[in-house]
Amino acid sequence: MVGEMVDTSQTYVPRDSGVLKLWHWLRSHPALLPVVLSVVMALVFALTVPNFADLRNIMNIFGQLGFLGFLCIGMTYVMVAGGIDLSSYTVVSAAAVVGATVMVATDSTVPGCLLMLVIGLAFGTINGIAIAYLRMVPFIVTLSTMVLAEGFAIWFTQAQSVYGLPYAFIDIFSARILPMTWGISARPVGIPVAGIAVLVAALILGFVLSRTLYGRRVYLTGANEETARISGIRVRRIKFSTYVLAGLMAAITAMILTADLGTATTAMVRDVRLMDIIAATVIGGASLKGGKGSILGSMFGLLFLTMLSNAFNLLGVSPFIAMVIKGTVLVAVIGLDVLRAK
Amino acid sequence: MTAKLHMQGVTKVFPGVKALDDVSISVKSGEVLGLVGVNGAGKSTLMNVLGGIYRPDGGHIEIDGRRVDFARPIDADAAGIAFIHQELLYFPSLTVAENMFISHLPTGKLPFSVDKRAARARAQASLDQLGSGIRPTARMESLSVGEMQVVEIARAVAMGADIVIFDEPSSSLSIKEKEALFNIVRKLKAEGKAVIYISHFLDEIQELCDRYVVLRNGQLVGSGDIAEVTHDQIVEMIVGQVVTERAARTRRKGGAPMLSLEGIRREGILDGASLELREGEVLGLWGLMGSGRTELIRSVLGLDPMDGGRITLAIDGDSREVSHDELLERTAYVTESRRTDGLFLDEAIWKNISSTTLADYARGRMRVLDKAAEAGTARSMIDRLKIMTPDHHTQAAILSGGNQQKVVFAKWLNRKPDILILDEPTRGVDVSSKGEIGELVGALAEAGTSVLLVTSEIEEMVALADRVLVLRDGMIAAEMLGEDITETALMAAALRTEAAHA
Ligand SMILES: Nc1ncnc2c1ncn2[C@@H]1O[C@H](COP(=O)(O)OP(=O)(O)OP(=O)(O)O)[C@@H](O)[C@H]1O
Ligand SMILES: [Mg+2]
Repeated sequence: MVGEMVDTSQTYVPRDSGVLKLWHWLRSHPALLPVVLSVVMALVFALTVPNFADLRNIMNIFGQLGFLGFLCIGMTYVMVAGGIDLSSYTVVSAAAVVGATVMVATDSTVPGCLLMLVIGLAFGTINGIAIAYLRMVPFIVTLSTMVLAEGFAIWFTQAQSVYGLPYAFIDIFSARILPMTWGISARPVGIPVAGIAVLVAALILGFVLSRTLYGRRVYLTGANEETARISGIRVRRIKFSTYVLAGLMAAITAMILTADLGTATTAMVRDVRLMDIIAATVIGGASLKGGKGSILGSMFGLLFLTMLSNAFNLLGVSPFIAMVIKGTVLVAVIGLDVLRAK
Repeated sequence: MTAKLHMQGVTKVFPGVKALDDVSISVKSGEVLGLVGVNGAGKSTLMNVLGGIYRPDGGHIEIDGRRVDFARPIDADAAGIAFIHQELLYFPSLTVAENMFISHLPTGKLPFSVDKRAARARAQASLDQLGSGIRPTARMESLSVGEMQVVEIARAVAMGADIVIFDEPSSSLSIKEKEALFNIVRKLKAEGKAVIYISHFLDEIQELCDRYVVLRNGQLVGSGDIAEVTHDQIVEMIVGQVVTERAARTRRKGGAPMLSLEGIRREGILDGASLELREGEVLGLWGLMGSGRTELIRSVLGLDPMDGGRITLAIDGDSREVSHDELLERTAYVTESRRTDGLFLDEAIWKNISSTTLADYARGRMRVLDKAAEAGTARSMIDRLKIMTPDHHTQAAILSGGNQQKVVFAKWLNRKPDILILDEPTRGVDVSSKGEIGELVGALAEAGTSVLLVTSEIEEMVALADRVLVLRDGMIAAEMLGEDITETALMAAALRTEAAHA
């Protein structure tokens, strides 16, 4: 028996293209989750936590984004390309103490800042060469440079803080502009420059990552290194560049933090903050397997975590309880990521 | 006798695709049912429903006349259904025995302990039953694809499955391994198992199966006894139109040398292989799996280490020695395994297709990508290669196997390369697309592209190659030209190598 001919050529026209489009759109916008989370969280806290919606507090939160924001941007690039960078927060200290020492000695801003940049980039280059060209495991390499940078900073300062920074330096980086009054704030509150800086950096580097040739190459390298390489993408160069960028971001963080604290110490970014950086990036849609994530997502991930800490602070919740809650949120988000991948 | 297995009116809808539309099939014990159809027809989906991987949106399954409902793969397991997947799933660093009993390890005397000896003995018993010489203690990663498949089948036997599904089992096997597989299928049949066998090779279907079922666009378009149809009639049902004979072709001569490899060596695998690829020819590289074909290509492209040898490439008419990267830049390489190094599985089709020519879409000083242009290219490739997909935003991972392969082709065609290297280019591709890809390769060679073809399919080699080099023990052992390239000659060359290894 020979089967009768059936004309089935139309079956593959999308039957319900509205649903299909929504599906694709949700899939291609994982940053939606942290954005929604942040907005909901902001509303809830504004209504329930006293002083949360106060202008001064809002500007505080905005300024705090400047502390970890750059590190999150660097981490996003590294993770999208399929790597991880555990060293960035101790590199901040290493760059800060050397740069600050030179600033104090010369009483001028520029040489010290340049030195911070050099040290940040140097650590990024070491990570990049070891991982991209010598093919060592990112986790191990950056764990080593993390210890190396910390050891270096402690040795260099003999565990002492560096004081006496030039006022010009402090004024530039910890400045607040456009003072205004709003709500119950008695004194005018300015917009922190650090927050503006991170916003500008996020817009530019977010654009580069999501829209440009280089950015696509970073994504494809992380999505499947072997395929990317065979497709003609110089994956080693791409991976190298992401670690150098992370180093640069650590250097900028060193400047902002040193100015804000008015001092440089060996433990400027405490180790629990490393977890915040990774958590913000993962909440923002990045995956430890690479190829996923976005600057927009990471920034909202960071905003979410910063608001959480801030609200707990205002409520007087123990910071350790806050850590437990943050850890729980992170596990929940990663769980969601696994579900989404199914 | 009632059917062992009956699937009634099964329907399955994915976003944008009706993958199965009211399909009914039955299989009796001791019978082999051949399941055929073009890429994306719904074969794997139908079997995934049977294997408990997907819930059907309509219809039901009966085993021994009783209705069953599978919520999870384990339920299908328990009902005696074993599924040998199109893409094998295994734990490379575990042993054969551990892989076979991964979900049902015999427990030892202590709680949570595993009785390794019992596991080994049971593994040995079922491997013996299949007449295989694989040791239960061997590591999975040390086996060839064919051997891994035997392990999967042995697992099915050990579980006491009486319905066995094979999804394109032969597409990565050597000639000898295929024979072994066929014997196993016949054995299962003789033992009274109900077997479902999916393949794009109709001669296999005709040799092994008792009955056939043809799917097209998710619908059942034909079924019956194998003995009552001819090869051409099945092809007609599969593609939905009358097939015309292709005209006999003449073998191309090839022009100036394009790429020459001299004394390529790699420790333990390649022993001074040399060849010359000319402009506008299809050069076949023939040899059994493990003869070093893929290794030669990967070493030369710098993807694996190379311990010695020279690579000379003609660039704008000038021949000079080049680095691996320079060669890689000018080469399109359709790899052997699309899932590991051919595709970005999680990415949309359009991103896969543009990945080889990204710089062409970069605009302005910021080098911003023109996504609309990328999408345009993707859409025209989807039309040109007849890739079956709801749209170009679809993830590569959810395409059917053959359509994934077409996406790999599309991304390289987009590059318009000087050199095209094809390693098993039509693995998992259906009859009609195979013909189309063959024509495409021919047209590229006509237009001056140098094509290096590796394939284990003898008909494909005869149909496409202008010249064939036989690779044996990491060296070029013989060359075949023009009329000498016949199925018999290739078979003899391959068997000679296999015999030398036995
Ligand atoms: N998880 C999924 N989500 C969406 N669509 C899917 C999914 N799985 C399969 N499809 C679609 O269902 C259709 C049938 O696919 P299926 O894998 O069953 O084809 P097939 O007959 O096995 O093809 P091949 O010979 O290429 O392996 C295809 O259009 C495929 O893209
Ligand atoms: Mg299939």
